[in-house]
Amino acid sequence: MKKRIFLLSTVFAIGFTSSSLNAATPEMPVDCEDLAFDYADYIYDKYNDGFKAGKAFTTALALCEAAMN
Amino acid sequence: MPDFLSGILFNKNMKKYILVYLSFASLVTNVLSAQIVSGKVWYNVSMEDFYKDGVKDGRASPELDRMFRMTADAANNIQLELLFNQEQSIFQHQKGLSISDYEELDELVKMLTSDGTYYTDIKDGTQLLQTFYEGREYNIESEIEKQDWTLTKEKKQIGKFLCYKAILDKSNTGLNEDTIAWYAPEIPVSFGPVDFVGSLPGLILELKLPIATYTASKVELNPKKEVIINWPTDIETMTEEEYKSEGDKVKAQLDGGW
Repeated sequence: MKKRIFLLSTVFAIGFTSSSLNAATPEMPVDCEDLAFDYADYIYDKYNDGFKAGKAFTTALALCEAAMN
Repeated sequence: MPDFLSGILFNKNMKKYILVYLSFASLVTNVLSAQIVSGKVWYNVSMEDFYKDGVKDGRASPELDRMFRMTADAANNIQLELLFNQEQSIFQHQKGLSISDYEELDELVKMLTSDGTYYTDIKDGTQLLQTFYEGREYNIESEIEKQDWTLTKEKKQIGKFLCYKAILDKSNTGLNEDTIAWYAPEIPVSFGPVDFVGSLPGLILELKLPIATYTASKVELNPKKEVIINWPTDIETMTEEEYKSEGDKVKAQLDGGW
């Protein structure tokens, strides 16, 4: 009986602790600027065109920020 | 040989009639193919290779993967049109099409698939690209350069037209892959999408670049209405180098943290 109580207590303790950890660790937000720079760099690498890279940056930033709101 | 057949073949008058008929048939064929003087082609665009390259080796984050996917999906709704007569053509986005749910993305994808409107004059050997960035108009004039295509005997049907494959080695374009074109000799004008003009002995009905593939979805030849290309006038033009330099300023601004 004592062993059963001990085991049950341990299970509850672990369960409570992990749910507390999950609550304390928020979902990592997407850095929209980083995403926009990555996308713009890729476009520039493919097209070698500053205008396209600039447009890619503003587009990715706008879409990402819209998705976050 | 049956008597009646040898009678026909060795009859002098019959020989004369057959000769006249064959000459006439040949003349009609030549005249008809020479009379493809104008037309309109609608092109679809695929950017699946753009997507696959962007996400290969798992290097893209989920958010970046999503961005590449949205771009490629929007490109599926792009339609470009080429109008041409014997000497000139205009290549541009079809107006009024809904491409995606986001205006910003529409503008970007249009830019990626065709910088703007291309006016080509084969006779003068010049091309004019009219494009916009942040509300400012740019008119870039250039000479049509002869492209060193390798013509192959490989062929395929695109719509009603028998097309042959031509390959442009990547060393000619600075791209990281060869460019493939399928051209139709039956349409004897050397026009095609964007700035791939002036070099092939037929209209390009499919063009495969590393990032986008343009495929003719509809071809209309010799329309009743005469095809007139209204070349822009009273415009300030710049060279390709000057345009590139303007683009480099935008890139510099981006590198500086925008």
